[in-house]
Amino acid sequence: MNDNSIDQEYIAKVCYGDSESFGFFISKYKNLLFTYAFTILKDSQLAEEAVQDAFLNAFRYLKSFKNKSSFKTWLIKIAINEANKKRKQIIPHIILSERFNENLLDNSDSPELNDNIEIIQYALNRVAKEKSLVLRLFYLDEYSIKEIAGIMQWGIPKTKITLHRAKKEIVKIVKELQSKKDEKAG
Amino acid sequence: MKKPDEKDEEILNRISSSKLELRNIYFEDKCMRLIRKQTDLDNAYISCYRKSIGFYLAGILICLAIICFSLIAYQENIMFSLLLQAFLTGVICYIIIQIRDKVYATR
Repeated sequence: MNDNSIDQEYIAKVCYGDSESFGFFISKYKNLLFTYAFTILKDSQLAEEAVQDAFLNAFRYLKSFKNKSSFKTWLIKIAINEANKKRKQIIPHIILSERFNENLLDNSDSPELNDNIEIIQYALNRVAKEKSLVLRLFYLDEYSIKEIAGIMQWGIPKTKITLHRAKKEIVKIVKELQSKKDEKAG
Repeated sequence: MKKPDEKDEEILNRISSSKLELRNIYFEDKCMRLIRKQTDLDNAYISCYRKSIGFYLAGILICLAIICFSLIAYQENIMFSLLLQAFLTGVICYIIIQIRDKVYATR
C-alpha cells in the first residue's frame, strides 16, 4: 500500500465522521509542515502556531480536497499560506532575523545533527525565504519544477530561475562558512 | 580530488537532511483538542438548523391553520378575514421566533 493510498484511507474515515483519525495526519506531517513554516517565519513559536492553524484548516476543508494533487502537497500549500499570512500580520523582518539565531541553536541541539547539517540549516536561513522554500521543496520532498510552481503559484520560468539562483547562492554561503570553520580549526 | 560540480552537488544534496523537528510534545494533543472542538461546533450547528426548521415548520402550519379558519369562519367579510390572517400570522411568527431565541439562549 503506497503513501497516497494510506492517506486516502484516512481521509475517507475522517469524512465519514471519525475525526480522531485526523491524528494520523498530524503525527505524520507535523515535522514537514513545521520545516516549511519555519523557513518562512524563522521562529519556532510562530511556525508552530502556523502549523496548528494549517491542520485546523485542513480538517475544516477536508471534504473540499479534490485529489488534483497528493494530500501531502495540499497540506504543504495550506501551511505555506498560513505562514505567509502570519508573517504579514506580525513583527518586522529585523526582529525575525534576530530571533533566528536563538531558534537555530534550539533546533540544532538534537544528537542526530552534525556540523554539516548545522551549516546547511544556517545557510538555508540566510537566503531569502522564497529561495529557501524552493530549495527545500526540490531537495527535501523531491518535487518537480512543475509541482513547485504549482505550490508557490508561480510560472515555470520563474521557478527555474529562482531555483537556479538559490542553488548558486546557497553553495556560495556554505563554502564561505566552511572556509571560516576551517580557518578557526587551523 | 572532487570536481567543483561534484562538490556543489554534495552541498546541495545535504538539503535533503534539513528537515526540522517540531519539539513540542503537547503539540499533537493541542491540535486534537482543537479538532474535537471544531467537530462539536459543527454538530451543534447541524442540531441548531434542525431545530430551527422544526420551529419554522410549526409556525407555517399554525399560520395555515389560522388562514383556513378565518376563511371558513369569516366568509362574508373577506377584508376582515385577510386583516385577521395577516395580524395573527405576524403575531404567531413573532412568538415562535422569541421562543426559539430563548431556547437557544438557555442551552
